[in-house]
Amino acid sequence: MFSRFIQYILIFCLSAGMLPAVAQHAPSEDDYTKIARIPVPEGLVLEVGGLTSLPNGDIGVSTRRGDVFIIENPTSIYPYFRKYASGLHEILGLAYKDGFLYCAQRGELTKLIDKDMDGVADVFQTVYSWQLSGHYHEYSYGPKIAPDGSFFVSTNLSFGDDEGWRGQSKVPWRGWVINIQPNGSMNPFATGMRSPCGMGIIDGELFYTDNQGDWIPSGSIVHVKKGSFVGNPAGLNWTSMPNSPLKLTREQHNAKFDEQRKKDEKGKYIAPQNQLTGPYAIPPDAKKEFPEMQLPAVYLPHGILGVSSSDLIKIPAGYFGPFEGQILVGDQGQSKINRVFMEKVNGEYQGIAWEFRSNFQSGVLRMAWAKDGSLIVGETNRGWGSAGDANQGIQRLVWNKNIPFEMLTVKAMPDGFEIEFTQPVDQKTANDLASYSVESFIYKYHPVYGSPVVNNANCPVKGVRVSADGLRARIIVDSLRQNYIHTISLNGVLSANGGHQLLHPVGYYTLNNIPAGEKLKLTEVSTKNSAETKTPVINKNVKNEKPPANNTAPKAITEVEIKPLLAKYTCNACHNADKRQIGPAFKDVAKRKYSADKIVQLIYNPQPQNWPGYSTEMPPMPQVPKEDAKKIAEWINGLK
Amino acid sequence: MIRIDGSLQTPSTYTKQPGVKIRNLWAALLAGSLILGNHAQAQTNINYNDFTAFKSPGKNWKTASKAIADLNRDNLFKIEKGTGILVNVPGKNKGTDLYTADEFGDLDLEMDYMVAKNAKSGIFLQDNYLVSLSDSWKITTPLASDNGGIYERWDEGRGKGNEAYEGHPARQNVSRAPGLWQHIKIIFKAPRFNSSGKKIENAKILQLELNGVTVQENLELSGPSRGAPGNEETAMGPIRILGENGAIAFKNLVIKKYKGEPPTLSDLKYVLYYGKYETVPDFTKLPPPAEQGDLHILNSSFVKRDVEFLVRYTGNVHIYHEDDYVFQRETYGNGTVKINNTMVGDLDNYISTPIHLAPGTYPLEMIYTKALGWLPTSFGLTISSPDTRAFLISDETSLYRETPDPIVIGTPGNTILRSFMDIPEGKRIIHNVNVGSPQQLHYSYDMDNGAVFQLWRGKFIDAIPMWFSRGDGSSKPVGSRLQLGIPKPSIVKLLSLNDSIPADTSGSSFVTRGYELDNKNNQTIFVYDAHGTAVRDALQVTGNGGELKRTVSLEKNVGNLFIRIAEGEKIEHLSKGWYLVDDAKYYIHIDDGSPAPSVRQSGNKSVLVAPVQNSFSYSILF
Repeated sequence: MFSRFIQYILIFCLSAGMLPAVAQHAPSEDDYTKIARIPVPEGLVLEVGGLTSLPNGDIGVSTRRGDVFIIENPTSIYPYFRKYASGLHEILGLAYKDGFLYCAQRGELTKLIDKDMDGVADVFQTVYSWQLSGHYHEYSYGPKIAPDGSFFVSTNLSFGDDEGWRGQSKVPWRGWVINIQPNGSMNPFATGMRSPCGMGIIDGELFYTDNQGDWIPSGSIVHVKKGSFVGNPAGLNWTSMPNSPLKLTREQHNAKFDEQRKKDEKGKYIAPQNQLTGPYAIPPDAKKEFPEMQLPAVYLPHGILGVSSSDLIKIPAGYFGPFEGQILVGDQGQSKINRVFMEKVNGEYQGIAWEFRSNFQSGVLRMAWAKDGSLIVGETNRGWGSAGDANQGIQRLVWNKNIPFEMLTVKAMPDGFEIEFTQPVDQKTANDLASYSVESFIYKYHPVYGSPVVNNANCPVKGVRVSADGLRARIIVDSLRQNYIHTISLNGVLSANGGHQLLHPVGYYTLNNIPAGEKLKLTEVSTKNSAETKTPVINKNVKNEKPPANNTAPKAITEVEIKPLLAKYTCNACHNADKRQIGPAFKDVAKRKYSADKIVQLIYNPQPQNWPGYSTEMPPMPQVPKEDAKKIAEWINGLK
Repeated sequence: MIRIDGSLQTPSTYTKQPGVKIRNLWAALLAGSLILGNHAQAQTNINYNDFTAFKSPGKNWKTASKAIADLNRDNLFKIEKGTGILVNVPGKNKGTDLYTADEFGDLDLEMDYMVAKNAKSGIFLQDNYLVSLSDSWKITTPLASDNGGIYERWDEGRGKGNEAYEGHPARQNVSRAPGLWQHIKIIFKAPRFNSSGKKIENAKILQLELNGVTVQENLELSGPSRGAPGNEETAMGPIRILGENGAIAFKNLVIKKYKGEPPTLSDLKYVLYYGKYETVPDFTKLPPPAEQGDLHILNSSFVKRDVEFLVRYTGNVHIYHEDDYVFQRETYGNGTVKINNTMVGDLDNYISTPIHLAPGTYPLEMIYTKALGWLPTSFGLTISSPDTRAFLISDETSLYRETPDPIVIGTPGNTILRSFMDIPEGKRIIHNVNVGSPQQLHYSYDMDNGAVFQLWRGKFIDAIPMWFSRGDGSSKPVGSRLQLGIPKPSIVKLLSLNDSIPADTSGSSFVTRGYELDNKNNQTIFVYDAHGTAVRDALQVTGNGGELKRTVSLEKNVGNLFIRIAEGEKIEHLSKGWYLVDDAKYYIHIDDGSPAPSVRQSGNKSVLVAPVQNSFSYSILF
């Protein structure tokens, strides 16, 4: 009796194990990774600013409140939190090197030493102290350890004085990445940073992430070389100093790309506004002017793959199954993690980014690997807000060894892209051009906060060749544009096993270079396109329906209609229908009883002072066409 | 001689900041410290610079030009003849208390005072409520009998051992050392009685500020303290300063006397219109109102949330004494105030203008309009005059309030908290380290100069400025500060004693190396390089929390190095190794093993400097 019962269980388990794809529901992220809790001592405000893995499997955590903890047995039921240091100044990075912890405080790089071996740091050695003007936004991040054992620290710009909107470098090396030797000597390394919250050493090279703002139209990952200029000119203030690795001056930059310092008749500065008409520059234009300009390797389009890129970390070999060697990038505002695949074309990095895992409890700021292969995620949202409504915390992302149906890699081809899948595709849908769509776009390069998407164009998919094993699809794409972001959507491609859609069917490929090489011939590929042959479906019930009454009231806009618009214009990056996120819930906007026209006006010209309880200001969204804005406005007002 | 002095203005930050937020206003009202300005020069301040305004003082009370305490001897002042300071010098017999000739109801009192070692004195308000003024230096848990406490009540009827009740110690001990000037400010509201003499409202300490820190706030007192003449409370009474046996000296005693009752309102009515009103409409042409009715108190609770509206309030103001009154509207949104048909605050002028009113009844008309529906509804009216302390006459629940939860950092042990620190000279100290001690003596260290630039007593750090929302990276001491000016390097190179003393580190190859925590000795040791040597600057709270001891050691004797010990307007040499800085602001005590320093003039400042070969040690006491 008992053994038969066991037998049943065994059979059940086996069949479930063998046929993961016959699950009744469409797979979701939850089916592959679990966001697990790490129990935190009661009352501890763990606003994580830095995370690092220690060689013995412990995790070092530094906080915005200036504490450093060492979490012993971080993946056990009862991890032990050892308070290793406290009282430091808003620590936004922590690293381990040769037996010691190092952290970036607001004003210095500090080595923590436990001299008397009581498990608590007692020597706080200043490795290098840097200047600050004292503005709140002068955050400093790092260190990251370079292959030569030196330290990289990245530094935020400040705002204030008479141009509160403009990123400013008031003292040397704000808006820079600096390199510090263990003996305390410092060499400025690269500039153009605005709010460089994340850095990572990937295969011996330094990469960083930035946050949208003036001159930085979107979050992205940038390969930082010595002497690179990455976009925001404020840090160029200091290129005349003898140790600056680049000589490009602010004046030279301003001569080509106007900083738009304009005053009104009262002599007060006016914030630059996005212009709907007239010429504008795009980031590749700056690359043409200045060879120092380093364009993003991979854009994380603003509002889609986050609103405030944070940490970046490489997935080590053997971790997260097929995704080993790829890069994860956190996002504070959207409380999620994106996945990036990079390749080198013509000597420069480029690649594609997808959503990977969302629904963390608070803003994802830092990531570190635990020894069991899970990812420790450190969180905070204080002062900015986030999709996850907890203010701070630490969680763990655990892969359950099931392999999701995903694009594994996308590589640029002379005539399109080659997509590799984690699981075989269904040949029928994969050979159908209607399953694919590609569009390209870019942003403006200007002193305005953020940028609309510009120069959008459709890139027709002309053919596809699917490998026999169903693991690869090479698509021929028309109108590829160098330096543009290519949205690659595979909404129609289904898995061979179970017929499911890709877990994340859309990726964003930054095409810095189009590789040379052999192109596919149209004779070698499938050009079948079901969309072209489809006949319109006739609704058989139409005759029985009453004709619509002579109704002058506008038809209520449905969720289905509005969702693509909210996604397209990235409204849902900050707003949810019912719940406060970075911005107010649409329902709360509805409560204000603005007219639809007023809402349209506010989309184009937001009034953040109307929402004093929110810490992140809404940027103007002039790129939303009036008719779509009106639709969104009417939909908002229909929310009750 | 009583001098009527119209020049001393009670501080009023409010009138200088028309954009002040309601929550600040609320905090100020709660503290009872909001004195609206714009008043004519009619305030009655009584200055007590000698004994003429006191009832015949006993022989123990003397005038002096200076009083110096001895940190090692109880209850003793060394005084210098002269004027300006009134001192109780206890003799062999019990001394007498000092009474003002005048009697007071509501009052504001301010003075500087110092106490001798272990002296216990106090000040009775209306001869009934005793504010303790005593030597409470180094005490970490103050009692009602300690400095700034309200001494307990006493009732024999409660049985032996249980007589004492309702003592109110200061919220934190911010007391200075014996012989140093302290500053107290008391804002007191007298008890109220009805026509048959029955008490209808208890006396209140609206605010008691000690050395710049509020230690009592809005504290209701149920009756006289122990040591009062009896249990009877009165509308008016004298100030009594205890002279029985506590050596106390005081100067700059100023008492502001309030007279007359504050205005009241009656016959209040409101009319409410919904809609957007950006100007005052012609009420005869408006559609019928949404609502109207009578009010027993001015409020806005009848308004729906998140809407645009206009309310017109009408009623009568009753004035009981002639004065220049300010009727100040406190609203989110806009409005007007009209008294006796005179517009005192219109749509364009948020700050009301004073209006002179004789006793009588006058019509009031007030408009509150909110043209932005989403703005929280917040409505209030305060009234003040030179002889009427500002008070909220409207319903407090109609004011919108939103404050972050306090974040106060405790000091269970030697506690470090780095932050930016703003100093009164308008500078922000960037590489600052705050160090707190369980003895409640704390300090801030500037790592860019190797200098201690402030010390404080009481509670440690308010982290709200740094940790609320994005914060600005700075924090604030909670306790009472001793500020030592713009930080300047402690170790300087002087080719001779007369060489000018550098004000910054330029040319000294100054590099900060961080700090070490010496847990065994509760020392924090700051480390830096300067002038070609490593410098270790060890700081330790010692003497049971009385002093901050500093030992600066040089790795190498590079020659011509001096230590800047103190800088001020005036540095007095008291005795061997003892110095008093700036009219009894703090003491410096040079360690016995260290060479004698000298007082140098540098510009208009006096500087205490000493040569350093290997190490130098001294303490700051305050």
